[in-house]
Amino acid sequence: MEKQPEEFGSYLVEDFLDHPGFTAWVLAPDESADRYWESVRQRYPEKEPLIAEARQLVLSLRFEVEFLTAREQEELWQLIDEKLGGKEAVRKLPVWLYSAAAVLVVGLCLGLAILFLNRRVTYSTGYGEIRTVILPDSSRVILNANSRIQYAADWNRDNPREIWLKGEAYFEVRHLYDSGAIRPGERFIAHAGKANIEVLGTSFNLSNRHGRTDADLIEGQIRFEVPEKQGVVVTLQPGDRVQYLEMQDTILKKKGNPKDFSGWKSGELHFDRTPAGEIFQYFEDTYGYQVVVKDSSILKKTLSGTFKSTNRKVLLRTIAAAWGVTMELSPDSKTLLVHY
Amino acid sequence: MKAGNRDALKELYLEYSNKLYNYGAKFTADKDLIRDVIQELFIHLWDKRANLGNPQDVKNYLFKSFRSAIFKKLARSLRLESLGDAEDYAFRVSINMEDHLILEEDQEAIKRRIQASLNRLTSRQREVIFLKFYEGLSYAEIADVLDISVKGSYKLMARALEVLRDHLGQQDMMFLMLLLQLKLFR
Repeated sequence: MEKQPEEFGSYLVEDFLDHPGFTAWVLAPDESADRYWESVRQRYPEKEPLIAEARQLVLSLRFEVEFLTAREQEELWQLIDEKLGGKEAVRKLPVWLYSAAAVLVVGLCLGLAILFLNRRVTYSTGYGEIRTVILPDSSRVILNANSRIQYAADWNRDNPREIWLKGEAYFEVRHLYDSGAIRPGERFIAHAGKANIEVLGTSFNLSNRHGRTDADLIEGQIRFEVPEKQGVVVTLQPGDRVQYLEMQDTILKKKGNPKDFSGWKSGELHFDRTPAGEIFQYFEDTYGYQVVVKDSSILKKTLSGTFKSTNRKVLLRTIAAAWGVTMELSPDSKTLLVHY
Repeated sequence: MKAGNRDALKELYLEYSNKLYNYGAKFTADKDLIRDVIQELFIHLWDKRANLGNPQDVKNYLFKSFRSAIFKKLARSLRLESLGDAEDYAFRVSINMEDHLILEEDQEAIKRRIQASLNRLTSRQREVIFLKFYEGLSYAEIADVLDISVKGSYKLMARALEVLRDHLGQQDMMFLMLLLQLKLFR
């Protein structure tokens, strides 16, 4: 049953499905994999129908996914953490014990501070939720819906300030740099997907979803780097947008209006000839709906203008009116049906 | 994590909790039961951290322990001796044709036909299909999770493919391939 990867002569469909590189090739083909499987097809032409069948199976057997919401996941973790002794119950002590306890606590804190140095803090938002996070250096981060930010609990001058982002957030990074050589703690690095965004003190919008990382500079300067793409560093000016597309391994730089990209945080969405598909993807990412479009011609539509996003229902109605379509939310609020 | 760093456990949790939840949702609709199992699993994992083996085996270990814990809890809640062996247990999967957009009536019909074919399989066959196509486990890994022989897991897949082949028909497969090719190059 366990056939050597190269013994294609005896392969059945089941064996192609078990070959480590096969599924990866079907779902995310690249040049070298294409060449490899092409050579297999040439060497074993009788296996071609089997390869085709295995390929069709991989492509068609895609499953509905059921995940915990960001909040549910965090809450479940809290339960685990508590059971493992993460939190201590609050007890009432007689008054005279407090001062003695205070001295003890201070001593303990100093001692344990070293142990806590590697603790990581995580904030996440559920669908439709926007949350403001204050970082240890007083920088402000506004986290968009369905997003997550992580950073080490303790920041000091000897290390760059670092955060890790999944989803979308707007940053107002405090300027700590004064003069002379830049010290490590004055640098701020945001990791999103495969990209690193470095600033000294500035405002920018950062998004990492579906294998695409976008950074939009509102003011100041940004240094955008993808470590795997050696030597490629992009420096942005206010109003610039840089995009890294993971599948195509490409970095793009565009000029834009910074207000357009970060309007979401003040409840406004700006669109400029934005295709319907992108807008539906935004609904899915932000509100957690599954969007079902009954007529494919709807996808050819685009949208321009500013829309208020504070009231979700009003937003959907306004966009629907602009397109002359109807958007219906299912009773369980999970599916959005779009049709004429 | 062996050294006692709780953050490593949380990293593991963040990486696997949703996968396990998704897997659990195939066995039961009882969300609380699934959450309880995940909770107990990670607490147990922490207690046993000194005895853990290779990182590569972590995924298998988690899936295997999770599965047997789900079965134990389900059996208890259904007041049965055990769910274990035959086809007593339920394993429900739903097909998602495209990631987000479902366009024409025809595509709906195809989705229904694939779903109907999958429903013809036994739970065990469906489970093997899920573990292979969604989680990407090898037959050896599947055998470990299901506690059967490698030959057994291979045979389950072979049998499942036979059933799918019989009921899907050439036309559906061809149409499918065309639609999905278009999507891939969008």
